[in-house]
Amino acid sequence: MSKPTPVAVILASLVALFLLLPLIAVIPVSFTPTRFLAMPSGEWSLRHYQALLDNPAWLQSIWLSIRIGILSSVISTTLALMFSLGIWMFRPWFANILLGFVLLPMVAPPVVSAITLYFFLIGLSKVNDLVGYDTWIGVAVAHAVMIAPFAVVLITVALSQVDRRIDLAARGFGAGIRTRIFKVILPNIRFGILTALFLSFVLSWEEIGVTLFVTSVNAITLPRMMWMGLRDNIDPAIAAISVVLIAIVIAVILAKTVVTAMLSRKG
Amino acid sequence: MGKRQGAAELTAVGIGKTFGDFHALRDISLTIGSGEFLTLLGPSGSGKSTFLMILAGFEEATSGTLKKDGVDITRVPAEKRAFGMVFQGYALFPHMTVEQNIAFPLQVQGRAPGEIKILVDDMIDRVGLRGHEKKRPAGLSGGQQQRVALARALVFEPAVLLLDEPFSALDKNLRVSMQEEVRRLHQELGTTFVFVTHDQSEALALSTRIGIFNHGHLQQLDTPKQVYERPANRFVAEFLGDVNILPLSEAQATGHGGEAVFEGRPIRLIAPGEAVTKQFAIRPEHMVLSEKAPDDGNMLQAEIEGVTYLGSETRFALKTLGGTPIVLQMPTREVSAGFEPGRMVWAGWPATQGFFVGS
Repeated sequence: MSKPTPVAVILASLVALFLLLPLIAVIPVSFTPTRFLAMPSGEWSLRHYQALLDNPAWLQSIWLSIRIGILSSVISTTLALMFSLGIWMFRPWFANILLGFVLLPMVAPPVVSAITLYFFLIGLSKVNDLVGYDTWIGVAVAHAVMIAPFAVVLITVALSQVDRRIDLAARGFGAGIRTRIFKVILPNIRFGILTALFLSFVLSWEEIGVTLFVTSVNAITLPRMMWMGLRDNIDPAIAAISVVLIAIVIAVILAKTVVTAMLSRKG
Repeated sequence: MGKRQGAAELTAVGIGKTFGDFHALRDISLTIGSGEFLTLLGPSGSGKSTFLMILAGFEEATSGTLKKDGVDITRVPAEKRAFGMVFQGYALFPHMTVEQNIAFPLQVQGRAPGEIKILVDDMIDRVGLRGHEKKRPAGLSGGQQQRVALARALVFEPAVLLLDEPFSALDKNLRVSMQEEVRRLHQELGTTFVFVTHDQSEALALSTRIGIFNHGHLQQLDTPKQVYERPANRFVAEFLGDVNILPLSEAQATGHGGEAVFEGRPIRLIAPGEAVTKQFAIRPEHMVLSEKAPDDGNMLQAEIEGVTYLGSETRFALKTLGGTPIVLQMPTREVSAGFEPGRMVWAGWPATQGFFVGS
């Protein structure tokens, strides 16, 4: 690999800066002493960070978003895994039709999906209290529907890297379908599964479109909370929570970079 | 390891396989004897690999039956046949160590951990992988991966070992030493080996018998010496090595062979049972070049057109008086100094060499 030229580095840095500027702009706003979104003029304050801690609604919505993220990523990844494995192992002639169906939520307009899921969850609410409109499990199910196509894509790609002959070899040595899946195939796509889980969690964590349609007062996820704060009273606490989230993301990415570098030096 | 529960005999009767309109195999009938080393040889697309996949149970035959020691196993799936198999490209489990790879078939069979350890240890010594037990396949050389694949396929003492072009990824020297290894394992274990290759010299060197495939048909099934020296047809003759084809003006059977005329010269063949045709074939290395006409045997006068030095052998391009091109190959130490392009010489061969071929 040849080294990039200085011009390329400068151009890349400019693009990165352009993409990151809106994120950076939110940082000073979070330190404003005023009660509304504004740049601080000379005076800086931590009152909105204090507000995050004082108002239990923020922590509750973060906890809710985490629960929904975990449940929906587990549901979507499990479904995606079963679907992709089935297609990979049995290669039915109508595999492409099935794949098209599964990927539909990715291309359908989000509003259409949202309305469909709204009626679906309203219907479920009539028969039970656990999974339905404005419940956290209901939101997780709605998220899982929206996220599953992405998990299918990731796991299908991971499976396409697996040498079919190792599955044939396992069969030849007398392995039944369970051994083939759990001892041979899954260990070889574990990184694909982890990536699918992680991406699913992130997609659920930031989901707002469908969430707006299927929640009202109980299941207030973090994006929903921020959206309400922005619409109702332009609360600078939104800027504060954004900075916290940005800091977390930077920390995670730095940690991943360091770990990857250490692993590659060792290997 | 020592004693074995016995190698198996496989019998195919009228095996056919079609993929849509394409006939991959047509009416294959053969018996693979217990403890035999049978090679399925043919160009790519000849059906040899498809036949191996049917033996393994990964493909189902469209017609015909397959028997193991007389028991019909045509519809038995691969996982119930418990044959050992070495795949092209090895198909080792990348996430397992050498030890775990070799132990896999035993674990699937539910053997006791103590027994597994003993058998795996024995196999690791047998294929010379001591010191590499804890490595993963990615950390091994091609030859070592090949050894793991062999060990994994043999560790559970299968009655039949199937090998699908196992050496195609190895370089020439390694290939020869792995051939030795496979031959040694076959002699030690006595398992029935069925080996697929498109490499003629590999097939001739290793097998007790060779089955030659082309266009989905079994062309000939016989010992290496027979298929090489008495090929059933022109395809087999040309596939197994270079051969000179001499068009005959006359040919008749004599009871113990045949008599024919090529460009006005008589040719005699002593080979009882040989079907006489209008074409005579002789391999380049079965002829000898001399300055004077030999005292007996068959002979042709020809002009040297080119000489190629191959190290231990030297190859001559000749042209007969009638203009037929002939290739002749002989040991370099027997080549006289005067054999140079432009010289008229004699190419001779004993009456026991050569064969008649159909067109």
